[in-house]
Amino acid sequence: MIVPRQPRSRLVLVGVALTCCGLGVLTPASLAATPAAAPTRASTPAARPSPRAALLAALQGIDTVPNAAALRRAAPDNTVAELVAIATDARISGWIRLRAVSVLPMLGAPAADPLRQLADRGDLSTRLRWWAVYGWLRSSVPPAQALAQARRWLASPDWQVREAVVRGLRHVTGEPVTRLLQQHAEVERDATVRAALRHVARRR
Amino acid sequence: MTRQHRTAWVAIAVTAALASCGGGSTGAVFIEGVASVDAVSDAWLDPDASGAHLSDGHADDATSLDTTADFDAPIQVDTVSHVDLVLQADSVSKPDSTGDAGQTDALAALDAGPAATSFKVPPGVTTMVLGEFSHKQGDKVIGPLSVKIPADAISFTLSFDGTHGITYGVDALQGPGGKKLVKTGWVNKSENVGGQMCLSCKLRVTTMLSAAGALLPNAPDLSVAAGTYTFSVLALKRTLITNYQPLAISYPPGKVRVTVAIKHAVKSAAATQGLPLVGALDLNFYFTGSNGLTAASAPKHTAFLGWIATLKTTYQQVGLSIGQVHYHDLDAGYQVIEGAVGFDKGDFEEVAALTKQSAWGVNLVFVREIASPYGGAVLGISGGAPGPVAVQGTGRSVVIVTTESNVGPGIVPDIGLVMAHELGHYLGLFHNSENNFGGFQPAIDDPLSDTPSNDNNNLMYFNGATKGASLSAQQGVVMRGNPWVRHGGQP
Repeated sequence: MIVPRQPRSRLVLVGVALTCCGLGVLTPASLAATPAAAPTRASTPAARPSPRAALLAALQGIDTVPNAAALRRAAPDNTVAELVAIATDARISGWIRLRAVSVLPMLGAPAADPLRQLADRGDLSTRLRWWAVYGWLRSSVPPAQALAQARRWLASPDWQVREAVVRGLRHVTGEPVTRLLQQHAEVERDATVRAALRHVARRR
Repeated sequence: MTRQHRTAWVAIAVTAALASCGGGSTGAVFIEGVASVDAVSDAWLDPDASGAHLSDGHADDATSLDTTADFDAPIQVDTVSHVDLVLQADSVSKPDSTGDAGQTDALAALDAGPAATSFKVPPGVTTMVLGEFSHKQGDKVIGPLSVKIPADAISFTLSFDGTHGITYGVDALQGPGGKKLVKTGWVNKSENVGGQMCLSCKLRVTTMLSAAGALLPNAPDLSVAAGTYTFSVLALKRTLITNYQPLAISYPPGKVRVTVAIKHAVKSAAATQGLPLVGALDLNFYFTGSNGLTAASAPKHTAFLGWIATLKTTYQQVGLSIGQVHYHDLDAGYQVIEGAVGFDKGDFEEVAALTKQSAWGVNLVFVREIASPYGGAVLGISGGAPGPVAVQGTGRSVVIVTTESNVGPGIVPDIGLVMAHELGHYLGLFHNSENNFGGFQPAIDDPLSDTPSNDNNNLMYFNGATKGASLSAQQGVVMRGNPWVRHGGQP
């Protein structure tokens, strides 16, 4: 099938990070030169779905991850809000909801507040909240803010919350964070969280 | 509090999401970088923790990378195909009372070069190390190299075990008579998915971080001919400058070891053009304790046994059975794999490097969560399509799957199918159809002619929620053609 040509200047890299096979794949917006031996299927503007449907489609996948560009293309005006709506919609499959939470950090600071709110919602599953806690710490929050919130979450009786904090703090720089992890290592008794602490310590 | 400092090379992560630009153009790049970090040991957490945490009972096995085995025996497949017959935890670690086993610096081990492997090559497969080649700063390729393929070969693989942080792949592969299989310089062509998958090559190949594999044939219009094949090895590094700039390509120095594995034809009625209709896939299981799964508990773990049953049922469609299996424990620190494609801080590569002493077979790691570089949960990930063959402990030598299927109501992922899907990649399969994001971009199909576009019943469909489980005849040929699949004897 012939793929519509786009001007070279518009040939940008969009879409999906195909992690299927460890590929960090860039999917070109235009595969104009793709030969018949490598079949591709073009889309038509008429077939384009609504932002919600496009996001739901983007979130499908065993081992592929949409990146920020793909998410914004799907829902250009309200990407974060649409993802939060998916994450909290009990009618949607849990895996897709989890994926919606997990990709929010890609959208940076605008996703921070929604992620923190998701993390504290008691009506969400522990696993969704794990991704929200972890994701919030990866969403470009200022280190001081991350530190303060991390202290509160580290006091949680739920080991999964504490583990998510430890994993997320891997992505927050600064000596204060290192000290917090060290302090928490003195009191943490859960073997899984301790393993996470050790793992993160090696990477700081 | 003791601190030990050592230098490790880690991959930095990086998917960049280019901000929306005028005209609606958006972009994203997936880039890797390398940084020298001063890694602090975990001594401050656990001064007593030391030593390898990789429990393994195969260290005494003979190294046999260069074994050439005769293969004139009748087909003897499935002798160990019933996984329940071989579910023996032959190497079960004894976790300490705190669960705080030590971690080795596996990334450093990656750059220390290949260690002696401890597997035996099964009958019907010949492996050879073409050599370990240094590449200097600025070298874009290593080679040309050549390998002579015998007349009875039905398939062969090239595996590149390189320097951590550098991306490798095959370039300019030509068969006997100059038949071009992989284009020269394909990695620089925009139509080839940003230089990471050659869609315009006769033989579909990819580039991968730290290590890579290539399998011939992986499509029905390809076959192996006797004679000399020549190729070069791509070596490049993609570096992110900022999240909003294009990636930079550089060509740093490094070393790459090239291994060839050849599968020989079988003269039997139970074979098509020399490729047996049945085969056994040996597996090395690695457990992190996720969902209570350990080397000790797995053989009696109801959910695990169910996944294995699904895997067996799925692969039986194409004549594949599960061969010998081995059980190992990994540190619980690996229950969460971050930077699944190896860009982040090396969890994937680190775990993969811990498999150096694995027995013959594909390494399957069970974890709780897998996060792509900027977040983004996935159910599984494979070290390649194919992953490295006849070599263990490379940065790509694993398939990793999550054991956590508790995602609340709705469609629950079938971990057994995820295992089958990711192992399918490792044996050389691509997605039959990639996600086209609801029509926002062209989709990519695999190079096989009997896997219809968007067939969501196929195991290799990108979307796990559809629970596709079917495999086509051509997919079976690709899988059985991979030298990891054994057609007799014991590994």
